[in-house]
Amino acid sequence: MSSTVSSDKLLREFAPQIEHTSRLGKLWIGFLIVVICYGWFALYWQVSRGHIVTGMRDNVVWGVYIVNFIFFMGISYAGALISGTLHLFHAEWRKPIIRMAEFITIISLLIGPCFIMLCVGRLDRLPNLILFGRIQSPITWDVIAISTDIFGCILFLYLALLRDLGKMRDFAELKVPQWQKKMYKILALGYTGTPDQQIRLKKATDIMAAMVIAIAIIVYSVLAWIFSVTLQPGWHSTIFGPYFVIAAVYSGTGVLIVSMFFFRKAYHLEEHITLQHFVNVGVIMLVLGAFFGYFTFSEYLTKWYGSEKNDEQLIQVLLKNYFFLFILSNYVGVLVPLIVVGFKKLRTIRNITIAAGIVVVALWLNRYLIVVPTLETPYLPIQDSRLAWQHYSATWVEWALTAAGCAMFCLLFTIASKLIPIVQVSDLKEEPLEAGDIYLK
Amino acid sequence: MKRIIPVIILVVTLLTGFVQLQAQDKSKSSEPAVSVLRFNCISTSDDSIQLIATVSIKHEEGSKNLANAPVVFYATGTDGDKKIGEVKTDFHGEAILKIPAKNQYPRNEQQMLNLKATYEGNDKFEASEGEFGLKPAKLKVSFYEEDSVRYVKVEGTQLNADGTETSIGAVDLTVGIPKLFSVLKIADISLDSTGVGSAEFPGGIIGDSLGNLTVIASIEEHEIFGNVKGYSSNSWGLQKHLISPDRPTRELWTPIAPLWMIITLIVMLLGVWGHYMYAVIQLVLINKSSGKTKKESKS
Repeated sequence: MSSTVSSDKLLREFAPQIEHTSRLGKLWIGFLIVVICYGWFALYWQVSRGHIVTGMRDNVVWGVYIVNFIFFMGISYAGALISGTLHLFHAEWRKPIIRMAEFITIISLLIGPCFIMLCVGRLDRLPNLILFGRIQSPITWDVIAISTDIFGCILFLYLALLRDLGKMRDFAELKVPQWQKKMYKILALGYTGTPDQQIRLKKATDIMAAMVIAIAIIVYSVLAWIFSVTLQPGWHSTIFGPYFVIAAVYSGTGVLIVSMFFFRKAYHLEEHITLQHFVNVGVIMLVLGAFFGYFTFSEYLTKWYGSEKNDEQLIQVLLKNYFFLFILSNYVGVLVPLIVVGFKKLRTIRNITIAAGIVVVALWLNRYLIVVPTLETPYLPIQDSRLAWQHYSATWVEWALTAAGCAMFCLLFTIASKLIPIVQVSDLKEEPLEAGDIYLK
Repeated sequence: MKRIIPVIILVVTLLTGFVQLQAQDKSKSSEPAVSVLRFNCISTSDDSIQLIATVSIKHEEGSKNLANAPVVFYATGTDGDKKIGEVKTDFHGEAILKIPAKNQYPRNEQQMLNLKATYEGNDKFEASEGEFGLKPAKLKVSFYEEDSVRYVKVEGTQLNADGTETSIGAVDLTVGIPKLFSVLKIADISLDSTGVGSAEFPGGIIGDSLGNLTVIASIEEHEIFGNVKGYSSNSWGLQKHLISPDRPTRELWTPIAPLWMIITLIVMLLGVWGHYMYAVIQLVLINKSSGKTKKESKS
């Protein structure tokens, strides 16, 4: 059976998702737009009144914006690492979920840096980063690394999409607007799947898969170094690079599982995304969770045992003022996935998704606990400052913009799935159709 | 039931996290906070006495200075308290009042001034006060050079109730140079019975861009004279240059980056962008090959 037939069948199956939007889908998009508009209002509020409307002050200069930045960049690198690794290892089961990982990479990579902009008080000085950038500064490293990463990930996604774009261009039955057909035609670059084209595409994809893995590790390490090269208790740590990378992939795996769950439900992908896929990604999450737990334990144990005055002070603050958050992020966030995926009886799609949701929340809190308590307990004691300025508490403006960021992530994900099938159609091979139309069990 | 439990766990996780984030900064107590007034007086070389009252409040995490608190200064004597003045604390929690060293405020039998600072408090903060006793004194700092050796000389005098000045007598003091965070001690001097003492002035101390140094002689917490400070300046310091114009260095803090960093960055960027270019070229070739295929099929 030719692959064209197989792809056509799959395209026929996924066509309704691209051609129509259900009432629930429209409601969902409308809801997301409302949240985004609320975020725009908060942005206007912040720009017109200045950063005084946020909880950030002279001492705690970073808040949920930087936490969101680290979080979104983290899940982006996770998407890149997962899709790149699964591609290089030719894991057959990856095919129905790899597109989601790629979308997560690109979309979060576009949203993450926006949160850095929100931290900047004088946006008009932003060009100075390029004009007067010093390459000794970790901020400059980050600017270079993120821009390199964005380009690399877009290129990798494009390479991965090329075959599907070709299929969609050639699929006559697809009832989409003319501009969309034109878009497929332009983006498909005349790819018809000739042996020469296939070889070139494979070479480029393999190289880019390896590159996105390397770049993701480097870029997230650079992000970690912004903290670890700073003399602050809790940040100045040699293991921050690998710790951040592990935390990033761990949270990204969580986001991937949650995405798989919702897209499976929304687009009825039960035949393509099975329990086995959840278990497979869940096992990756389990391994990463164990590594994350190990790194966290190692980080806090050495600090606690060293009894250095400021480290001790920080740990006291964490265990006193942030006790529940600390337990949620470092205990619940590690143990729940280990238990759920570790015990065969508990491995259901719903349980794995719930565990993944907990991981996502826990890892966001983990970033919060890395940023805020440290800024509240610096080496040089905070003096001559108002009490309210010494502790950070996010305002409605910050929460509104955070919600808008998440809504934008969901909206772009939804729009992307309306333009291109959420499951890679060109790679799925049809099994002999003896007992009905079932692909990839 | 199996379905409900995980959902409850997730909801509880989300809610607890959010509530904790919201509640972490809420203050709990509504009782008046304990206030502490630290009172200190310094006799300075410009024939005046600085009265410094620092008001702070105590709370669970330590103490914080209180701004805009009215502090009243008194001179206490056998005839009761005589009000000197009232000053509000600044952003650092300090209320500072300068009075002339020659004054008519009552003195005790040891010719000491007894001073008091009070903060009356309000609904939020409790009242507090502090006392300080001192006999006005003065330190004069000068410099001289002998046989190519530089010296710092300090002369101490005390101001009597009748307005006369006499030697401060044998007192120990320290000489230092104020730096960014604290005073760098350069000598300990014991004044002789005539109230004069000197010490060798060390070389190699970094001054400002012209080599100027401010030198402070200070007696701290003396049982009679309290705190006394004398200031003077010289140009015996080394001229400070952040970056030597003759020898530009490649350090983290200089405008020119270390060479290894530039090389590493260039190698990495070339490596990464080189691979990107390779992938882009493959895409260009795919596009070209499609054109070729079309031509072939037409012909």
